[in-house]
Amino acid sequence: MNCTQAQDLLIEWLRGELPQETEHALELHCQSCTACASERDQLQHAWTALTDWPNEDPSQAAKPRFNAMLSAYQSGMDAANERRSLLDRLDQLLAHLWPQRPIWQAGLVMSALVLGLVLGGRSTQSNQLETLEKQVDAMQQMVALTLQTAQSSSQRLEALSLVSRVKSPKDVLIQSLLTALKEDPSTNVRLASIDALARFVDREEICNNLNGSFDSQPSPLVQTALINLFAQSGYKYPLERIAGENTLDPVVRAHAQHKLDAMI
Amino acid sequence: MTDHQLMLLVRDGELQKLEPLFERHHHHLYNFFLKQTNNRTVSEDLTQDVFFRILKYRHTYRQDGQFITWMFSIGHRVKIDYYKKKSRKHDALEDPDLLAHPGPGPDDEMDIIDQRALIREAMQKLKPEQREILMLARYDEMKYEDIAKVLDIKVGTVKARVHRAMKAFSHQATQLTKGDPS
Repeated sequence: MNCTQAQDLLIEWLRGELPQETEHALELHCQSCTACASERDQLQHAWTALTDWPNEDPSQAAKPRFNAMLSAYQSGMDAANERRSLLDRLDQLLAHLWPQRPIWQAGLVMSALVLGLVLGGRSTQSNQLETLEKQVDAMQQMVALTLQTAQSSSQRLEALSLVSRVKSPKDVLIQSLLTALKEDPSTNVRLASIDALARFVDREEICNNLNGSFDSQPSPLVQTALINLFAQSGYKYPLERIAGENTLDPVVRAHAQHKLDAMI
Repeated sequence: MTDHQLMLLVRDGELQKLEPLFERHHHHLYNFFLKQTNNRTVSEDLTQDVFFRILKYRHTYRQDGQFITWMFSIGHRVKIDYYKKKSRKHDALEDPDLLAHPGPGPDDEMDIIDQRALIREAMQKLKPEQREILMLARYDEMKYEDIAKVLDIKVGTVKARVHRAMKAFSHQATQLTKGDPS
């Protein structure tokens, strides 16, 4: 074995992938070649450092975030399947009703045309409403998914701006907004999620969740926005709790007390 | 149930079967990204993105496929997209505590922390593609043939690149140990 051959085998030797005979030949070569022996020792040292480099645990938010993404994806897929299945059934029904004779086919087409002209004007509005509802549903799924998966905070902010068009939010959207408020690394996204949630704060479970997420907020800015929201919605209990919580930032506590005084 | 069996079920529409695959592999995937980016938030985002793409492209999973190899090849593309975005925006910095030099502590503990800080620093001095190939090579279940599939290169090229990356890493670690920051 020469030096080039020996050096080509060093990584496989480190990974324990060499057959015994080849390993023995490499060992013999290194005994007689100090350069290759030295390179082997250096690489072995570096390899050990690399393989001993311990792994870290991901944050506890990783699993809920995955579950929210999976659930949003599943809902989107179910909705698409439902639409497809309705269209398939309609297709089968039409195929069943379609007459065999050309004369009847022509007659049916003419009748449908006349009926369409008569009813067309009346049904346009309800069709538009139905289409609009479907689009709003799809938009909610899209917003939830973007909040969970988009890497860029500007994409997540853009998704949040669409929430202003939602009148009746689905659970998946509310959950995504609450998760964004609790766990999003960007302060701007957390502030925007408060604005988005403010429109639905009359729902008791949302208010309780906002109250629960208050203490975990690292930014006084976000805490202040939450206090404003509690005050604006007339929720005294969270404000009383915050004002009396000694571990919180004194400025934040004073702001809560100020809002509380204004309410009384 | 094996990874492959679970992934075939996901491919055929049982999306909930992705959950055990996430449980089994997200830890490895997260560390695969963390050791290259030194940023926990980015690494979690990239890990989530891989599982999202697994769902999105589940139809492309093949009957004779290997889940780990397929997952890491998606991870490879996710990482390429990340570096493209990063070069445009420069918005993802390393977590300071991952690169910081340790404070005072017991001697043994200091040695371990010093050693880890040195490995991270030596890794950061490598090219992104060198960091990636080393992370794949240190992963026990990855054979050279698998790494070749993940990176879409020949097995011979994998061997040569791992060797070069190891030499560069060893060189950087030695320089840092000697106190030369070059």
